[in-house]
Amino acid sequence: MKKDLIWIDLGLISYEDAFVIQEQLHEKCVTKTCPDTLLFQENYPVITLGRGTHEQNLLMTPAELLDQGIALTAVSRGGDISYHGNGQFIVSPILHFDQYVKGAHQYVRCLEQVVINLLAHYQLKGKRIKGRSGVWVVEPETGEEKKVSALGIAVSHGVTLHGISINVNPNLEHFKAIIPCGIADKGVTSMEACGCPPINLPDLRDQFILAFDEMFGSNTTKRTIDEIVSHKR
Amino acid sequence: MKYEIAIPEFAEGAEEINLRQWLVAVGDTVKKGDNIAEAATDKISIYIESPADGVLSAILAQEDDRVLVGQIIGEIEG
Repeated sequence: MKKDLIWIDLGLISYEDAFVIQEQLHEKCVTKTCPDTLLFQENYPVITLGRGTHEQNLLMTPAELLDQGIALTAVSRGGDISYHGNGQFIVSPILHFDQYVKGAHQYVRCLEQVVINLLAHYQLKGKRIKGRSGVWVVEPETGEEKKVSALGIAVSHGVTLHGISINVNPNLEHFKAIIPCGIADKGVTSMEACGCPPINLPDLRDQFILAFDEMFGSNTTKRTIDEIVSHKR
Repeated sequence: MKYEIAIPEFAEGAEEINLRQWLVAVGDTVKKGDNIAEAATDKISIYIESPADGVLSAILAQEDDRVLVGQIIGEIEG
């Protein structure tokens, strides 16, 4: 039997505002006053410092970041340093992951597979690299393997937080402020840089939902945030 | 009664798990289900819950220690 999920799209929103909503949804999901949820968002430029951040992976001072219009914030997910910004699609599944897969490790691998399947829809060949999380592609222009999708999750009270990001057409110059995920020998790319024609984020979202439902055996339907939580922006 | 705090089985499969931090100290009163410690793999932060109401009576793994699934990292006296 398929599991019923809901999806909510916050659109373009600051990381901080979105995280307040994510925490509210998480609390409701833990207490089972809200169904398991896929939360979509696109953030204004921000560098997030995961629980495993190494300071040397931040290459600019806060003042230099400010000059470029990039915010800086510490976050509760696993992983090292990461960048989010316009043109990057972010999915935070807030769900009782053990009802879908066996273990958090398998959950991460399944999320990566959803992205690989999604990329295939856009004629891009995504892959994993052993020992490194996320999804990678060979960038046609350089012939180099680069990361197109990064992930970092947290599990609290059996329910997940944070999730996975996909670079659709972000400003790749902004990634020069960091060593993304602490990986110095490989770069970051985007779907557009790999030759995809312009992609509409809502279309990508809908394709993601199809790929997610197929992988996790779920049936995900739309809700608005106002139907679920009270929030201030 | 003594209750053991273990690294949860759902972390199985991770190549390496580290005890990131204790969120409470020995002697602190906790409730069943409270997040009392955080462990992490390279991409997953795992919040570990108290198994019972009581007092954290022992810490058996230190912050930054490498830990295994099922390993007892502390005790609650309830």
